[in-house]
Amino acid sequence: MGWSTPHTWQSGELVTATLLNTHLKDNLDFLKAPPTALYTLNQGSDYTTTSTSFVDVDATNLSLTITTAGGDVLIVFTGYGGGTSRLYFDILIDGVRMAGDDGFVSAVNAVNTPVAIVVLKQGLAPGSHTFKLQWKVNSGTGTLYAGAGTSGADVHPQFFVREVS
Amino acid sequence: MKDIIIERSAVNIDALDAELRAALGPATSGFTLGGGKVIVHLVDTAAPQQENQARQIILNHDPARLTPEQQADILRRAKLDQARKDYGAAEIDLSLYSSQGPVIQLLATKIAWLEREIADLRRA
Repeated sequence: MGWSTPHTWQSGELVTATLLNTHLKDNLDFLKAPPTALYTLNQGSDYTTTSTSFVDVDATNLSLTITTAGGDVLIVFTGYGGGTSRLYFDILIDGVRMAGDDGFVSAVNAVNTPVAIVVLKQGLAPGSHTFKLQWKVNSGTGTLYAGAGTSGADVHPQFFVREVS
Repeated sequence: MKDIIIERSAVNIDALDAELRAALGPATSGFTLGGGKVIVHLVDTAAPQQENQARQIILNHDPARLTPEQQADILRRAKLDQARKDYGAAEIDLSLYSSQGPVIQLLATKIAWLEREIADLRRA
């Protein structure tokens, strides 16, 4: 069941099972299991890009869709990678980049580093929303390790979104 | 952004990127490789002819063909490997310079010192 705006009780109002189920049980159920989507990478190969414009890292697996009741959504990505030069990451929501410019984070120049994005998108309208991880380089090549068995870098990044209000 | 997607996993990343940029110029921002697919990113204004060109470049790409930079890098590494074999087995023998003048002896001593510093850096 979805979220219902909590009922405002009136003095002397009859409390019915329907009202209790809708405004107490269903809303508590919703809060216990809010809209969430996640993907943990365990791929056959790592990801590489040479794109100097922001593009999807993986338009299939790192594209998460949830149907929200409306409000705030927590977006988290954690991974490991780097570039021969600089490597940047951003989040795309319904086709619009969230941070803009050079994104939320940049891996250290020419070194593999942990990459972590923890951001809150506020005020999303109720409905279906799609979140994608995007990246770009300023030159050269960027790599995101994806649990593909690479020696010393067989790490499993995770991308998840969850409605939090 | 238009994406051209072709199943292909074995690519020479630097060489393919150079091929795409040389042929398509600003019509491409580069490509992404993952999941056994090459995805070439083209600007929205790219012409159908450029889309076909991108496809052909990926299909005809030979990962064994190296860029000039990759060839130069291999040559540089080969020279370094050979120099290590020729001169890297032991430190400079300072006794060979004991009959030389003080400037040459000082130079040999400095080279011995640099050899030790480099060896230390390579161990780190």
